[in-house]
Amino acid sequence: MRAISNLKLYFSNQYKSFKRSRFLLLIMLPGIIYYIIFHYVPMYGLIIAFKDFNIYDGIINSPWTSNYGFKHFLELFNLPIFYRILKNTVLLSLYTILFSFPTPIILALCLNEAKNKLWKNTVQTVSYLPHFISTVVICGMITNFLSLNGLVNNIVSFFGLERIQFLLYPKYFRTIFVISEIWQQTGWNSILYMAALSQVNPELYEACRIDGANRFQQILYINIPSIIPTAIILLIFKIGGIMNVGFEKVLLLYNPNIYETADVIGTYVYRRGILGAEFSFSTAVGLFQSVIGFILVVITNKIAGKVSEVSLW
Amino acid sequence: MVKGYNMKKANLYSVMFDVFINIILAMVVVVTLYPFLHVVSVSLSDPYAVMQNKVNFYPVGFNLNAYKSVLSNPYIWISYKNTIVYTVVGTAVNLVLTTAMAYSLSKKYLFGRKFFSIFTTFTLFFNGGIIPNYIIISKLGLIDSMWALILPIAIGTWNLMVMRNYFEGLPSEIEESAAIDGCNPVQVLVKIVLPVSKPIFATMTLFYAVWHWNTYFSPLLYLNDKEKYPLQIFMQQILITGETSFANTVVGIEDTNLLISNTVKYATIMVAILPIIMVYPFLQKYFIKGVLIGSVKG
Repeated sequence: MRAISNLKLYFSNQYKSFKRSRFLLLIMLPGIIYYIIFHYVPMYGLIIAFKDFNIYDGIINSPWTSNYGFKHFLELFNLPIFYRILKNTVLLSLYTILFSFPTPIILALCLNEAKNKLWKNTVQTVSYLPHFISTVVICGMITNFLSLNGLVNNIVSFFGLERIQFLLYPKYFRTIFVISEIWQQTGWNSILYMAALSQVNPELYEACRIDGANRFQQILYINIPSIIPTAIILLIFKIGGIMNVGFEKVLLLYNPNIYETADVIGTYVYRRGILGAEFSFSTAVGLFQSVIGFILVVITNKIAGKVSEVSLW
Repeated sequence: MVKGYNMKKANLYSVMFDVFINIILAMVVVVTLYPFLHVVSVSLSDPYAVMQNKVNFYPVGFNLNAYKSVLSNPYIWISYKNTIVYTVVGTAVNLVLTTAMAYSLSKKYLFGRKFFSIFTTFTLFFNGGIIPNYIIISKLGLIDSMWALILPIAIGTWNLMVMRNYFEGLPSEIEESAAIDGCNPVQVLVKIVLPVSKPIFATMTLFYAVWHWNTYFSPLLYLNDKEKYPLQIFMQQILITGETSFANTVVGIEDTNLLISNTVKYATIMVAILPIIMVYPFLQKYFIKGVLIGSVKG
C-alpha cells in the first residue's frame, strides 16, 4: 500500500511539474524538434556505416554489410591512406595546439601590464579582428600571399632567395596552417585569460611588492597561477577536438600535390562521400573520427577533474 | 644613499619592462593589420606596379579600376544579396528558437530539465557527421533551398548554453511577482525578461550573423544553383579557384591575365570583409560580455 501511495505521489508531483511547465515546454517545442531532426536523426543515420546504403532502399531497408556489419571499417583499416589521413589529422591538430596554445596567454599577460587604457583597448580590438574574417577570405589571402607574385614571395626574394610556390610542396603545409591559425585566433582566445586576470585580488600584488618581487616575478607568482584553471579547461577542449581539425580550411587550401601532409579525415570523407557518393563507406570513416573524438573528450575531462577540480561536467 | 640607488634601479627595471611589453603589443598590432593593409594597397594600385612587386605598404599608381571591375560583375551583387537574406532570416530564426529554448531551460522547475540539458549538451560532443546530415537534408527536399543553410543550424548549442546562463543569472523576484499578478510565462518572457536582455541579444545577434555571413561548407554541399550562391562561394571561386566562368566574368574573358586578377582579387576581399570590419568594433563590449557569460558555467 505504502509503495503504491508513494508511486501515486511521485506521479502526481510529476504531473504538477508538467502542468506548471507546459508553457515552457510549448515554447521550447520547436527547439526540441530541431534537435531531433538535425542532430539525433543524423546520429541514427550513422547506422548506414554498417550497411550498404543506397538511395532507393533508404536508411532502414538498406542491407547490412558482411563481417557482421563491419565491412567498411575493415576496408578502411586495410587502406594505406587511412594511416596517412589519421596521422595528418592528429599532427595538424597537435602542432596547432602546441604552437597556438601559449600565444593567447602571452598576449593576455602583456595586455594586463599595459597601463594606457586607450592603447590597451586598441590592441584588443585589433587582435580580435581576424576572428571575424571568414575561412574563405583567410584562405584566399593565404593563397594569394603565397603565390609566386605574392607578399610572402616578395619578402623571400628581398632576402635574395628564390620564389617558391609554397602551396605545392607538402613540407610547408603544416607550417602555413599553424601560422595562420595563430594569426587568426590569438586575440580572440586571449579574452578568457583577460577575464581570469581581472579577477585577481589587487592585495596580492601589494603583498608581493612588499616582499620585494619585481614585475616579472609578480607575473610568475600571481598572474600565471591565476590563469591556470582557465588554461586547463581550454586545453581539454582543444585535446578533445583533436579529431576535428579545421577541415574547411584544409579543404580550401589543399591540392593533390600536397595530400601527403594536408589530406585529413574530414577532407577524405568529403571526397569519397560527397564527390564520390560512397555514402556508407565515408560515414564509417566519419563515425570512426567521432567515436575517437568523443572518447578523447571523456578521458581528458576525467584527467582534468583529477588534476585541478575543474572539468566540463 | 644605498636605498635611493636601489629605487632608481627598480624604476629603471620597471621602465624597461614597460618598453618590452609595449613592443610586444605593438608587434601584435602590426602583424595583425599588415596583411589587411597590404590587401587594401594592392586593391587600389596599378596592376603593373603590383606585377613589379612595388606595392608593399601603400598603393602605387592609385586607381579604383579593380573596385569598378568587381562591382560591375552581376554575380557579386546577387551573391551579396543572397548572403544578406540568408544572414537576416537565419539570424532571426536563431534568435527566436534559441531564446525560447534557453529561457525554458533556465527555469529550475522545468519538467524534465535534466533530460533536456543532457539532450542538448550531448550534441556538442557527438554528431552524425557530414554524410548522414547530407542524406537527411536531401531527404527533406532542402537541396538548393536557402532553408538548407538555416534550419540545420537553427540553434547553436554553445550559444544556447550562454543564453541559458544569462537568464539563470537574472534576479527571479520580478518574474515571480509578475507571475503572482497572473502573467503566464510567455508574458513574463516578453514583457519582463526580454527588455533586460539587450546585451545578450546583441552578442547572440553578432555571433549568429557572423556565422551565417561566413559560412562556406553548407552552401558548398547544398546549393547547386549559381543564382543562389552566397558571397563565400563567390569569393572562393574568385580567390582560390580563380579560373571558373565566375572569375572570367569578373576579370573579363580577354583579360584573364595575372595582372588584373590580382588587384581584382584583393578588391573582392575588401568588398566582402568591409561590413564586418565596420560593424564589429562597435559591438565589441557586448560580445566580450557574451563570451564571459558563457564561460561562467560552460
